[in-house]
Amino acid sequence: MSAPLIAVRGLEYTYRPGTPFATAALRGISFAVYPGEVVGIIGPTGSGKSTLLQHLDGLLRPQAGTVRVGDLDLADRATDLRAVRTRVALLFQNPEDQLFEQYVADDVAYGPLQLGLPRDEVRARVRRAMAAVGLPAEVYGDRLTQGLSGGERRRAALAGVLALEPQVLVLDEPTVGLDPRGRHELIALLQDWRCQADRAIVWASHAMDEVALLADRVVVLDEGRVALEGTAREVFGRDAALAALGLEAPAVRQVLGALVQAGLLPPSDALTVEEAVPLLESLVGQSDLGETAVPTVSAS
Amino acid sequence: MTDWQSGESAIQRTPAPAQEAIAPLLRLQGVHHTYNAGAGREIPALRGVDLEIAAGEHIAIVGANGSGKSTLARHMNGLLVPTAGHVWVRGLDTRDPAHRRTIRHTVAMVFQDPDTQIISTVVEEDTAFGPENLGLPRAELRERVDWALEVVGLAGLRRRSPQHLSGGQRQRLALAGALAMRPACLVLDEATAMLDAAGRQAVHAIVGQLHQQGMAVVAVTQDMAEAARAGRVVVLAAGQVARQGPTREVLTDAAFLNEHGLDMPPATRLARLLHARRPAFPPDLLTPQELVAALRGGAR
Repeated sequence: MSAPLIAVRGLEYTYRPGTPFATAALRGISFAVYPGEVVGIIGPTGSGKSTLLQHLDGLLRPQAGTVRVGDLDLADRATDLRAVRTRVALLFQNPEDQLFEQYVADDVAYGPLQLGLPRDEVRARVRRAMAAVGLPAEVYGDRLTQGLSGGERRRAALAGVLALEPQVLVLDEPTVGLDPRGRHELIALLQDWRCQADRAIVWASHAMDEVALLADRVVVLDEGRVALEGTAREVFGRDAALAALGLEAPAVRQVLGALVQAGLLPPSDALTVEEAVPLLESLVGQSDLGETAVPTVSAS
Repeated sequence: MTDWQSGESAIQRTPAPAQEAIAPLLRLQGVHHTYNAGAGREIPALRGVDLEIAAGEHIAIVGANGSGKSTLARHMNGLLVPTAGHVWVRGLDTRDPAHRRTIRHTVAMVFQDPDTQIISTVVEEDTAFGPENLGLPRAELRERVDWALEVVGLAGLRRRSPQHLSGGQRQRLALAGALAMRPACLVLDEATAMLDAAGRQAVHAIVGQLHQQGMAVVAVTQDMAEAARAGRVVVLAAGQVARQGPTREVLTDAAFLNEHGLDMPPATRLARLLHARRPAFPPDLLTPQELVAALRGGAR
């Protein structure tokens, strides 16, 4: 396996350390992100997801343990955070709240300008990033940021981090508050983005269906520790362990789980609708299914 | 017992206006709302909404980002007043400032972000904030606060600071503040969007119980599984009601939902796929429970 893009080892972080209000957020986390993969980070509210993500681009410095981005050691105060941020870019929750320039293109250009890139390079990057999120610069560049719809504002904020041309995109609940169409569009463009070699995505989310669909590997956090880790299929197959953490199974697994409990299906690791339908179909097929065999549901 | 007699005489002393007795809980007629009206760059958010909500109903309002859902919700207790048209709460026009107090304790709102609603530094004081402004006697105030904190499961944390509550607990605190108003109608504006599964289920359970006891519930949501819990669904598009009807009828109309950028609930999607392969299987199921029941029926 190739070298990890990000390696986290024994990471600990406490808010307001040494005060009566000290709150341990991370208590020894280790995981790695490899080229080409989408890593889903899930866990109940308060499990440390956002705190962990903020360590990946150097927004927070480790209090104990290490975070390495390639050959850069983020625990080392001498490490240039600008170098880190050319490799790892973080998109906050509700990033559209932080658009502050009047015109869309200026907002997208802000990050690359902070990196000290030449103007022509910034212009080219803004153009590429805006095209990638479906807001072509010719059409949207001179629009007012305030005049964009909610979904467009989210994508404009994403263009701002794509313009940093990172290797790893770190996303904190990127689809929260988007309508279904906005979610589908965002997911499709992120899938396109990572199709290029050597790129990776770290995706923290409460939306289990999206994580199940997108993530190659899933890390489950609980109270600042890694509670479970594995392929999406392995992790979402652990229904009981997830339920004990207060996490919801993806919709498909909820239905399958109920049928397993009712003794109608053997346990399986089916995760997607495509995998579930044949299993369920076999169940329908067990009886001579006439109109009368199926309970009709009256309109409520 | 003479209670009902004295009650009767009280009614006789202050006869309710005739229209109040027959008025629906909420009535919106030709409601337009334009942001920045008359100040240039006008943004029309609502463009002629007619809607009635009866006492004890449970409705879901769905629609794409920017369709006007939140603006509509804010008209239901007079937080916003229409730029044209009328909103009546039990026959009282929200435009009339004299009715503001009555309207606010008839219709209570809970928003997506509890931190915008939490004011006090002690849980029970925060819950008391709304009813205190109604000028209630102390004993009644106390009783309402006790009841509301009991309902949301925060009675044991009443002396805590809201700062030391989890995200899910803070949302339940915001809910307690709304409930302490003893509203006839609760409006939830994406109130569970930021919560994890356990938090979301807790809020759904509380709201479901209150609805059983006769409270009307208006849920503004992007979550189709949440919308599926309602009795009636209103679909907004570009500031107008694109459709309203029984939940089963609206949320199983794939072509209509797709046209408006919306999804079917996950269980409905599965049911449709099964129906396509086994035509006798019902295509119009809404919840995992219904799907399981139909599959059990099929296997019988």
